[in-house]
Amino acid sequence: MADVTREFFEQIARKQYDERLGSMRGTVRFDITDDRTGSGESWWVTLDRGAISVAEGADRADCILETDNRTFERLVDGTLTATTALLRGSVTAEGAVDLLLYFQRLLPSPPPHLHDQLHAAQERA
Amino acid sequence: MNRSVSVLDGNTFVVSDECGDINASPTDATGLFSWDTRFLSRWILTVDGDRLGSLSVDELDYYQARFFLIAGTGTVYVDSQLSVIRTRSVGDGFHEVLEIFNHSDQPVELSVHMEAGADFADLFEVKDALAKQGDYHTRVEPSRLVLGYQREQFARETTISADGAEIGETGLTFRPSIEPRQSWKAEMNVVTSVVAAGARITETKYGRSDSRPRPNMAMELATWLDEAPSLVCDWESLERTYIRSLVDLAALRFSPLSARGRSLPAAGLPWFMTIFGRDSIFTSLQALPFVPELAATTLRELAARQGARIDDFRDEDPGRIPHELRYGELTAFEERPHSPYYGAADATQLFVVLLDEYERWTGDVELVGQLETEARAALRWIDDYGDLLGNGYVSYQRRNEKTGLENQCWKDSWDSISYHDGRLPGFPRATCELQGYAYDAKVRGARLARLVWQDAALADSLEQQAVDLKRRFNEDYWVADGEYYALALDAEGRQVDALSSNIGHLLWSGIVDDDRAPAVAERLMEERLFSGWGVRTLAEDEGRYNPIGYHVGTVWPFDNSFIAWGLRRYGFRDEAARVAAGILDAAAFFDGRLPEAFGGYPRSLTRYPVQYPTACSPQAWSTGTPLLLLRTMLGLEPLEGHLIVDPALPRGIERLELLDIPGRWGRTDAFGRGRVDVDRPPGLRHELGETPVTKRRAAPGVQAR
Repeated sequence: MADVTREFFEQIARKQYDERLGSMRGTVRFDITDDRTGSGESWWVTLDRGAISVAEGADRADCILETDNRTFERLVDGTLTATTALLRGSVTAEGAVDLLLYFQRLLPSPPPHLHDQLHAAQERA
Repeated sequence: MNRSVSVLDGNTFVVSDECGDINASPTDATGLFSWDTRFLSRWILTVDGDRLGSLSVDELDYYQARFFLIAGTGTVYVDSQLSVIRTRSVGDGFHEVLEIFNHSDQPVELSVHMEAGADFADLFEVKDALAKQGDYHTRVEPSRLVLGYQREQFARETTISADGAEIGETGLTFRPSIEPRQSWKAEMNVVTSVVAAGARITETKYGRSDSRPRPNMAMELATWLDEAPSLVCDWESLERTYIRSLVDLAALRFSPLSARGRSLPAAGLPWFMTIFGRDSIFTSLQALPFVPELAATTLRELAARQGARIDDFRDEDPGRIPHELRYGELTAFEERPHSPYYGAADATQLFVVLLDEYERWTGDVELVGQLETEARAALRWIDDYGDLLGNGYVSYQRRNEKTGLENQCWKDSWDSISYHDGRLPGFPRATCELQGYAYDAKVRGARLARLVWQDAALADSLEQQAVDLKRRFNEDYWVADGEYYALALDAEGRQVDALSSNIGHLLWSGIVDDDRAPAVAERLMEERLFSGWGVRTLAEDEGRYNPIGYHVGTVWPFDNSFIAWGLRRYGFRDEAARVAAGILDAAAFFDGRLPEAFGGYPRSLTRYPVQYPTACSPQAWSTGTPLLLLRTMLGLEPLEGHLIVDPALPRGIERLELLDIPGRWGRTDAFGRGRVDVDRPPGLRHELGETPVTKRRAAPGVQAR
């Protein structure tokens, strides 16, 4: 499994706190499948009024998100937002979707060149 | 056959012709829509191969319609032995009951066919006629027909089922035999589903794909009406308008997936059944004294989607409150930026204003505590990102130049912001009302910081900033020779000097210096702005004035409701009552349902309000307008645990009672008595506003209805 995913979860675990998470409390689990090998991994994140803790494993969670590693890598490099991924069906959600909206605040801004690519896509549309 | 019939629930709606049929062209707005996608574009009933003719349509409720049809699309004289009733209820997709009556003394054997087809167009495609990029599929199953569309993992399906039907790829066929003077009945279910990989989509309100439309909607509506305050008034028209507003507001409720079943006001029908930051906030403000829970959901849902990143495509900044959220294919694949789009320069300030006003009414400090982070981020946005030029004013310029919005204020059409001579300014533009909202947000944010967040330092600093902003604003925006505030400042800091309705919002926000308020009130009530029905968006002597120009001369009911609130705030009781009277008179012409906008023609000229041609209806903030006008007429203001009532009724209303007003006091009543008794000429429509009675007598045509 790509290191990018592990790096992301380790990075938010090190952060421990992000005030932008506001008063949201709950647990989010990501079930991520490697689309080449078919193997899967699960990450379990607790949000508690800004405090963040991360564990590996498939424990019960308030919001369960299922995706593949390529999609997840695009979420954590800022080229795809969680909302659009959900609308496309490349992420599916079960449970409290509002937790995903808050979790999304931990994802980075898009790289500057992305805007031009999106313009190109709109031209085609 | 040109009239369309709409039924809806949340963001699921069906627009058909008078027969109940749907026969959509790519650019035509009929069909079954849900989550911004058209799930049926063909739905055509034939009996023995022939279309039916319409006798009448009964729009029972916003979610239900009944079509009375006859065989043969005959002209004037029809001698039909068959009649057909279609009853359609919207819920999870829709449920349709088909009943055919054989009036003859012979048995009949019929072939009844319902043709079905789906183009799965995105709402934006319907408006712009764009081509599809994914693939269609059709599955014929034992008792149902499944129509589907797939683009990568984006999948949408329509499932049509009926007992006793033959299922084919293009629809359902029934072959009933009906005895003389007997009838036959069939039920069909059309279910919309959003299928994602693993079929794991969560739909909080609409339930699973095989469920039937919710049967309890009539009860829900009754409960909704029951829980709202009741109105007693000697002016019948206002009572009708009030009920119409409450019912339409119920129809406009929308529950996003994340809201766990709670609702907020969507912006309008049929195109705008989604979250709009500005519209949802304004409507929640208008409805606060009546249905405060809408405000709570609006605040929560907007907070959950507050900007956190810098994203040029979406015009997103940290702290910014979203403008518009969409769910369709073009949004999913980033051909449109509405996921959500953030291009509004006012919603962020208004979010703080609503949060404070909500607490003043309800005393719900818990929500203010829960949203502290978002409210602080919104307050920071005003200075860190809203102030594009670093001159201490909020201004806007889109970063998404392809599909972003040019004008990011409520007057969002291309020519809405102009100089007196009609020229358009460059960007960024700092319209005046944005500064008023910023001022109000700082004042109210300071109150919340002291009261709930226990942060006196923040409160002090916000108050200081507010004082400073008000002082600068009154220097820089005041057009001295005309005695009003400029519509905007341009990028060079020069006044965009048109006289507009925006100055009324300044009164509402409290940014107007006390000694200038009389001049502002006077401008608003002069003939060049006040038409007799309401305040025009732009004054008659401005370069771009056009009485049927979208934001350059029409009268917007919502705009006027906030102007009336502003006039009352500064003590202009009579002026506020005149504005309320004009708009409520206009409402009577529209059976209590105010349109988005109507023409700016003088009342003395047209005698009736001329509806703006492409306006959507019902529109949420027009629906909320009579509610806010009731508040301003009764002078309702929460003060700690009490509700102050200080009525100033227009001439013509003798008695106005609003009972069971919810708030931090529990429930309370407000009573108003008229100041002037007006004898109503017998047989004439009772109007409050200022059309002279003699003129009305001279033109009896006006009384029709």
